Amino acid sequence: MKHEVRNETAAVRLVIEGDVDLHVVAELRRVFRTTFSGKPKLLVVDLGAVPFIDSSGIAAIVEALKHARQWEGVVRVENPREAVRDTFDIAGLTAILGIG
Amino acid sequence: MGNPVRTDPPRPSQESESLDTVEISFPSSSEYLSLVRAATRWFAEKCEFSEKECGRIVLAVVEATTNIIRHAYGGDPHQRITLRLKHFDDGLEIEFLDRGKSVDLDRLEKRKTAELTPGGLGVPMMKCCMDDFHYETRPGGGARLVLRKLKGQGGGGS
Repeated sequence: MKHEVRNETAAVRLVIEGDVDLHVVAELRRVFRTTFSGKPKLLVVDLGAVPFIDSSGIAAIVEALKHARQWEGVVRVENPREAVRDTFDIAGLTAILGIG
Repeated sequence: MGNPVRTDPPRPSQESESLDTVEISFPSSSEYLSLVRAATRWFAEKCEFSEKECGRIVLAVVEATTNIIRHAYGGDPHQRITLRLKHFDDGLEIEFLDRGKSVDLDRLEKRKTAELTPGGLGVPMMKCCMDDFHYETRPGGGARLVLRKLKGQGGGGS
């Protein structure tokens, strides 16, 4: 898994690349902790380059969302591929993660 | 989430001969999840499931393997997992064998609604993706999990 943090006008965009599963989820949690050091009001998790995500990856994103609520921050998932979006659908989390 | 899933064997394909079987055995380390994904996708495509169904079958197999790694083996990467993929006329069956401790699936399945909790997603997602789900302990220790996906059924659409 690779990642890139981009500071945008109204958000911090975290671009993730590669499959997200148990093998990389500890790294993903570290990335979230680092990204949250500035307590961004909006964190966009860009999954456009993620072919696969499992429940451990989804759990890490949910944890991040709950963490951000401590400073009234928002976590939004953008650009999921069809298969990844289907996984969020199965988990029943598309609405709460702002997946349109 | 939560398509009705049968948890009671047997079903017809169990009594018929598998058209094709692939067996892989690998260490209980998360680094092998990419191998599991690739092998399962290849097999599901060979069984002529749709792209969406293949994605859901892969997801279910990764969730099952992850549960064995995390819960049956407690994160010990030096144990073994055996995965058998079987092709039947009416679908496919995936069998997981381990020698870890038995797992209380009801406890793992604590998240039954769309509440915002980070854990407990794996088992409900697995059941949602597949048509049959059967878990049993094995004599001498360990467990056997069987997932089945039928062609043209629910649990993932087509």
